[in-house]
Amino acid sequence: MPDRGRARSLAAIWGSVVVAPVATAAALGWFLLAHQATPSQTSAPTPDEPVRLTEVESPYNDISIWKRADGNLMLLFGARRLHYVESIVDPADPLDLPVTYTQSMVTGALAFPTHLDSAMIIGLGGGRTSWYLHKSVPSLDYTAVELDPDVIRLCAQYFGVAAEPNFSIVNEDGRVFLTKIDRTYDAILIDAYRGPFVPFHLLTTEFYKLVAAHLKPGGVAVQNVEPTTMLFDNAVATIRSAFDHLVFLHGDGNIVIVAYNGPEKDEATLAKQAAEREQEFQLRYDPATILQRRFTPDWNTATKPLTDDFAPVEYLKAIARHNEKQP
Amino acid sequence: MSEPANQEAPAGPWAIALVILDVATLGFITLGFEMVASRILTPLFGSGIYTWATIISIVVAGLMAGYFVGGLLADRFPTFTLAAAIKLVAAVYLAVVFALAGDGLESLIDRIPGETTALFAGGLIVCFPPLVVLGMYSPLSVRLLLRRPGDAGKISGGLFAISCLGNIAGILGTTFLLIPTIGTRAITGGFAGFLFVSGLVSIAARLSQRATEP
Repeated sequence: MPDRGRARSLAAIWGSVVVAPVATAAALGWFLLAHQATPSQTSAPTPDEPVRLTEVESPYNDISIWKRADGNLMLLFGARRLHYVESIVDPADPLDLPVTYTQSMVTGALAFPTHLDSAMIIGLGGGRTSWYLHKSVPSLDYTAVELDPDVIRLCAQYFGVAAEPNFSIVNEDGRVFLTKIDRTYDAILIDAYRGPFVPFHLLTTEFYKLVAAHLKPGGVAVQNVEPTTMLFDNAVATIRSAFDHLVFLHGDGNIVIVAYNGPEKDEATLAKQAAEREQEFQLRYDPATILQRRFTPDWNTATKPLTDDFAPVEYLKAIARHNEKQP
Repeated sequence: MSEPANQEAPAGPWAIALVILDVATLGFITLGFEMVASRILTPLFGSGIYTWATIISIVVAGLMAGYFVGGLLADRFPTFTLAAAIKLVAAVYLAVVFALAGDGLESLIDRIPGETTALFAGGLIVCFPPLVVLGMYSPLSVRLLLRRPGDAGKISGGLFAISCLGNIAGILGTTFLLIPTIGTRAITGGFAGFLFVSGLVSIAARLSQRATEP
């Protein structure tokens, strides 16, 4: 009888060790076959269906580049179920900025700084903002800092945005880059998103103080912020903790915050600078016109700034913001 | 062949309950602290995949060393005194991390040349010592409850499962509850405080055992 008990135990062990994984694998295989991914599209674009040109799994993102029926290219992060359009590029017109908030970003960098000798951006993306600033103001010493090496490679391959005189690209985390350098800039643009989230260490008081320390006198920080969640109030409070003055420009869903220290840039100064730069550089998007996008948003002024110690970015991003008001 | 004669008194119900509670809570703190470590190191080294690879490898290396050393010590000192020592040392080190998490760690890292070296050094300073100590409790927990070799499978398997349950609760609880409500330093301080109190409970358990020993 003990032999029979032993045989039963062995059967139970083999049952759990061999049968269970095989059954799990079979069920998984069936599920994958039943929900097989649609093959990648290779046919000519139709009005509704963009064509995927490439798909890359980088160290940080699932990146894909699509060609729309209107000829514009799209840079997407994320997989089929959940993806984010990071950039829209007109390959025939490198100065076109089809995404409205990028027009506000470049205006922040062109109209507000006292001088216009050097600028940098954290987050290259599709390179629209960077390429517009570089091509519009060729004398500007411009540095783009991008974490993802595949974004840099694809940007050069598909969008023609690559290092050249007065335009350098650094493959590094934006905050780490700032901690390593001593130089200062007239404008520091920040547009670093990973899908829907700003990496938390790029949205804290310590980070913005680092940004402020790398600005020349009269220089400005320009930040793209998505306003629909509780994170907006915290973002404003955090930027406010490092800068004396904040100016808000709407950007069709996003809000661009221009932040600076020192004396306030009054209306006359901004109008003069915008007019001078429009005249000197013949800008595609007239800064004076886009300055009219300025507004004062509703935000909870009691909100505490985020810090390296306490920055629940993902949590705040998940909570819808009430009474959101944008012009 | 008969099993070896029982050399020690069977573990009492309170001792069993304390070991199970310890395994679960230390499991919580072990991987909860891994999440905290990522929040401490990211501002210094960025949110790159290399930062995560460094943290995970150092956490596993700490546990590896802890299991090995803990196993040796558990056979030599199979008592709640060792359990108390493990928890108190971990508490003291987490208090050091709590203090370092301000500007201290950054100024320490600044003195280390080379980005990769600094990253590994940062990971070692923050993660390695506490994980070594916390890892030591796993073999000790088995040793504290095991009386018959025939029970080794179910006792070790059961304790490892409870530890994993604590790990899961630690990852989820720290990420979804603690980080959004109290912040990195408060969690580290809280873990240190809990381990200190838990260490005192282990001392009390040892004293109580001694009092009842013939």
